[in-house]
Amino acid sequence: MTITTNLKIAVTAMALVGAMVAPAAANTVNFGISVTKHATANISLSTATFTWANITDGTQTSLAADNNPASANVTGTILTTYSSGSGQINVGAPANITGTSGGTLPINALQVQCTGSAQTGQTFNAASATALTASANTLCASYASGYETPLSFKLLMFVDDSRFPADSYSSASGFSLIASAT
Amino acid sequence: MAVIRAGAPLAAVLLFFAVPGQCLALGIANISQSSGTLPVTWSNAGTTDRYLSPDANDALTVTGTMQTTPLTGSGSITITAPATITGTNGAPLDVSRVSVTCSGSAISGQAYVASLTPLVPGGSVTCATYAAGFVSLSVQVTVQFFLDDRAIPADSYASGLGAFGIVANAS
Repeated sequence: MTITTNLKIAVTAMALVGAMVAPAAANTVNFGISVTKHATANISLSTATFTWANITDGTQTSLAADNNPASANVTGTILTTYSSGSGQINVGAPANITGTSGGTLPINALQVQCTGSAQTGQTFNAASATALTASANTLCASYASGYETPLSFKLLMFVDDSRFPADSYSSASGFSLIASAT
Repeated sequence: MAVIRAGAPLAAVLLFFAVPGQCLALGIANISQSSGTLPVTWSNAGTTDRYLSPDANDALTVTGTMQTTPLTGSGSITITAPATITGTNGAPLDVSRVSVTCSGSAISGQAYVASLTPLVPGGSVTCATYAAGFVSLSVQVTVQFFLDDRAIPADSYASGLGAFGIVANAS
């Protein structure tokens, strides 16, 4: 009995020691986060005017603008929603342009070409010279869902000089480059 | 009698080893949120910021008690994070895109060790540490959050309010 009693004392002491040498404590404050990243479309064009300063014939169906290709850089950001989004860049055109002497330059005599290095998720819909439509948009490039690569490509313009009379034509405004994303 | 004597020294020896530094001071870590709005929200993440602050520069401040055992104890405040957060359209948000900076009043024995430190997906980062023998009834730590929005897919992400944790430990 005496041995047992003393062993109990010893074991009890060991248990107390065990409790006392493990004094770790912890508690936690929980929190959460919320992040919303919206679809974004933001572009710029390095030139404001495409110029054909000296057309001397009427036989070229796709005459490049004087400032092709050096000045026609499209840059910016298209960010489309993961899985469900999409994006577009369109070229908006005005109605036909009247020359200073009354000649008519039909808008569909003008063509655009969108071209650049390949990027996954980017498609150049106007990869070759594509006629514009008066008072309407022409699709330049489109973007798949989840697209987020910075933009960098060329917007080139051409004219079919067989389709309008000799005159001076100027459109100070009326054309636009339109980016959209969802 | 000889048997009785044999039991007593055993108990005495055990207590002798238990006493130094262990029995007199239990680790105590008890914190609660004292300011900040939950969830921590970025409602308009962009595409170019390495360290984008949350809306209204939201930060979380926790206050409480920290006591560590003299000589042998230590304490810490860590921040735990889930492995990932999935957006409503299925995009994954890499939790390491969120960084934290911990700050507060200078107290001897307390060190703020997180400065623009990315969170660890499914793990934790240390925010503050406490030396042995540290005792304070008014520990205060402010956690600032930053988002690297440069390579996050466009989507809406929301974790549960229990997904992240500010964890206080003391021994």
